[in-house]
Amino acid sequence: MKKFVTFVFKRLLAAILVIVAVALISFFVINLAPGNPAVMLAGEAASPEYIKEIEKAYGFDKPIEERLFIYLHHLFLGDWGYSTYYQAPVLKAILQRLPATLLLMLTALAIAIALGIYLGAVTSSRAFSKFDALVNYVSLTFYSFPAYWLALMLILIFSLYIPAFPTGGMMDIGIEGAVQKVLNVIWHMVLPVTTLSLIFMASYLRLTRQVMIDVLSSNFIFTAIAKGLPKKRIIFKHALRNALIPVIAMAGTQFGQVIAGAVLTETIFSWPGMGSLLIQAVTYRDYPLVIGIFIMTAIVTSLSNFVADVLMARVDPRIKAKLIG
Amino acid sequence: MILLKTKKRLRVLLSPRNIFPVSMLAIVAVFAVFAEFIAPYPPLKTGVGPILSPPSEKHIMGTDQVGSDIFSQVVYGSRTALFVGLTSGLIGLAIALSLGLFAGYYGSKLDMLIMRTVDLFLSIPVFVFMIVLLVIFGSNVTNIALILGLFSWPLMTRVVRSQSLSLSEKEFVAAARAIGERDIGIIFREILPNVWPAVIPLFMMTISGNIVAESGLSFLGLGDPNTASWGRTLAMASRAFYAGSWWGILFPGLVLTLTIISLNLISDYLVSLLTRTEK
Repeated sequence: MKKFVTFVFKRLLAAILVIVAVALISFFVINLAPGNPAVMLAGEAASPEYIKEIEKAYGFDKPIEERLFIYLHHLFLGDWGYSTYYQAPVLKAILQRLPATLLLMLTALAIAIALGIYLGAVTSSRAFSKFDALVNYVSLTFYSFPAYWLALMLILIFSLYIPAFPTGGMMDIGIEGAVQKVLNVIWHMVLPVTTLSLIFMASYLRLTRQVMIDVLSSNFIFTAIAKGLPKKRIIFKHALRNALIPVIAMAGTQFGQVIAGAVLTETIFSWPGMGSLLIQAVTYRDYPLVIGIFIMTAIVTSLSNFVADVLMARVDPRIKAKLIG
Repeated sequence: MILLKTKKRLRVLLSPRNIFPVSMLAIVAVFAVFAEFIAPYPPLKTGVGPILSPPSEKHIMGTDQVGSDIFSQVVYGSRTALFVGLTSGLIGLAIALSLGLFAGYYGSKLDMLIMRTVDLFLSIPVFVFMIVLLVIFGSNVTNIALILGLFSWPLMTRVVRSQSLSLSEKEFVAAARAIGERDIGIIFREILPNVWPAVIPLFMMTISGNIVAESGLSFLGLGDPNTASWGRTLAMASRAFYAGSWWGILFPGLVLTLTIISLNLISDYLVSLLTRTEK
């Protein structure tokens, strides 16, 4: 147990190191940018007085190493600058949008993982058959699909030609009652979640199939077959349990890409999350907001990596032995 | 794959399974190289036809809301896509080889340092960071290719390094060392040729990923405003959705997606070829 705590502590330290590295990177980007770095911290639409204020607050008369320290200090205290476009502190604007992104991403990810694992397990049990080849082909196709084009096509078909789902947004105006509100949000989520989960699913399917084929050729599976256990039980109970580990690992490490996919998908469906906020910030050259979202995505990514690492060590005694000793 | 004779290589490439992806990529390559001769109109010139015309004889993929020809944009867009994909992929490959070969061969502290940097790069949300860089440093085709290239090396480095590490313990490397070959010679003459089979499929996946990234950035309005790009055409069409412009969404997106599928299919095929020969 003590070793496990040390392990968790080490992984947490690694996650924090990544976040600090990202903060350092943003500092250098701000200072290497052409023009006045104070504008990077204030935004292009900021008034000259506000830029003066920023120059003073971030110590622009001081040497660069001192400025770095001041910058990190501001970040650490949660002062990520002021968004001139939103007329609100950057951190507040981001935190307002974060739940919508997480709702969309986690739903899509959950569906993708569940379906991907299921289909991967089913195809692996019939590996190298025609059915397997077909599923493999289809999953490679979805794996290759640019998420945003799939989103556009879905809108074209299911919102414009067959007006079954809304083209965008999260909730209609003037909906009363909690149940109605939830249903309305779900209705708005159908197309973006379909887009993202189809694309994420492909990688889980491919990974599960690959790992399952390896597991299915190991001795304990032959034992189970020899004992005369039903095929279904062997696949879903004996084999799948062992194939899940890399899938958990991928879910954790993929979160960064998941958020990247969110930028385009959210923009297309005008989903009020962090991704569409980023694009609005880009349009209005609201630099502090752009950089703030970069740092926030890094925080979310490294925390999800950390959670995946810890989960893996909890679930798999082999990894536990390797990582913790 | 690389080690096969040219004739055999050609036969493998043209096996029934590969006819579709190879011919798709050939079409895109021809578009890219001979764009001037294939495109009927200058791609970004406005008013070469009626506004939002559906596919017709004069405009086989229709026109957009400023009367530009979409087929011409698709043809010129191939050039942008291939230029950005290949340049960034090669930059990434060059970095991956120079870091991975040495990290795997020498091991120890150098290896540690390089692999930790790889881990760091893999945990940064790259797409968001690219947006940050393009916003601040401005966007043109060269910038996009460079930025994509500078983020393409970590995964390839990991593969090159693990290959180089396991190869450096092989007998033929020991033999080369025994006859007095220097480290540099061993790395380039003995190890490098055996690294190719593992890294080429990933190289192709990198190119396809970067083509998608370029089109995505252009779609978001972060591309080069003066260059035709599939993403740019899609962005225009997505604003003419309600006027019923399905052609602006369907055709450029289809070309983009088929290109990506083709690259990934060939990469997948190379992997299966590799695992088969291993067995």
